[in-house]
Amino acid sequence: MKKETGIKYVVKVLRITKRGEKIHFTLKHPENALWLNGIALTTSDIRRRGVEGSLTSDTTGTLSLAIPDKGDVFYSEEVKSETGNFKDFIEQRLRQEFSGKEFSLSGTRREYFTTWIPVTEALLEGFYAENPSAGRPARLAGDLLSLVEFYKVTLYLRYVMKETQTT
Amino acid sequence: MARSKIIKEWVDVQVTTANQPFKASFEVDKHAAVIIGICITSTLDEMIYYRGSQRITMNDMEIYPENYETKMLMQGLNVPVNERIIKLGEEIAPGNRKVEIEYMDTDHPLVPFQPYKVRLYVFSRIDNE
Repeated sequence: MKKETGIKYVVKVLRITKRGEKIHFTLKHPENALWLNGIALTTSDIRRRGVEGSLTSDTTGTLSLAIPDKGDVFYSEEVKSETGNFKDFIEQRLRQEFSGKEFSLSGTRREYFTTWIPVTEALLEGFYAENPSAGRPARLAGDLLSLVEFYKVTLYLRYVMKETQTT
Repeated sequence: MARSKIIKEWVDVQVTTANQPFKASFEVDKHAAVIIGICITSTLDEMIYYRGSQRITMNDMEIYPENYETKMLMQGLNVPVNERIIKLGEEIAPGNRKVEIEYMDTDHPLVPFQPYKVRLYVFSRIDNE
C-alpha cells in the first residue's frame, strides 16, 4: 500500500542563455492537488559589479504566474540576484557575548510565499523576462551570455494534496 | 531519566567529484512512529549553497523532487538551535523506514569544486508511551 503525501513540491528550472530572454512556459499541476499554497524562487545569477566596482541593478528578471486562458496573474515577483555571500550580515558580526542561549533572532532560512490558490485547472502558465542590464558589465556586448553568465532560475511550488492510498 | 521523544539520526554523503550524483540511505530507528522533519548541513556550507540540489525520499515516497536546491533547506546560524528543523508540512509514517538522498553537485562560477561532505538529519518522534 502506498500513501500519497499530503504536501507535494514541484520544481521548474528555467535556463537563461540570452540577454533579455523571455520564456513562456506551462506547468501541469500534480494530480489530486487541492491548493497551491507556497511559491519560492531562487536564481544562480550573481550580482556583479559594474565599472569601477559600482553596484548595478540587482534584479535578474521578473517572473509571473497566471491561470491559463483567464490570464489572471496571481503571482509576480522580481527575481533578485545572489549577492555572492550567503552568510547573514549579522551572523558575521555576532560577538561572543550575544551568542549565549538568551539571544536569538527570528532566523534566516528560505521561506515560501504563502498563498491559497485552489487548483481548478490542469495547467499553470508562467512568464519570465530576463532583465538585460542586470548587473552585467557593458563591455560584454552581444546577445548571448558567456558561460560564466549563463544562469538558471528555479521556481518551487508547494501543493496541498488530497491524501490518497493506492495498493 | 525519561527518553527524549525526538529521535535524531543522520546519513552522510561524501561528494568526491564535481558534477556527479551521489546516493546514500539509511533506515530510521525502529521506535520512530512518525518522521517530522529534516535538516541539511555540510563541511563546506558554500558548496552546498551554490552547488547542491537533491531528491529525498522516505518510505519510497518523494518528499523533495530532483533539482530541489540545497539552499532551500539550509538555515543560518541565527536560527535558534531547537528550531533548525525543516518541517515536512505533515508527519510521515516511516513505513519501510528507508530514507534516501540523491545529492547532485553542479558547477557554479563562484565556488570551485573541492571534496565535501553533506549530512542529512532526520528527526522523528517516538510513540507516546
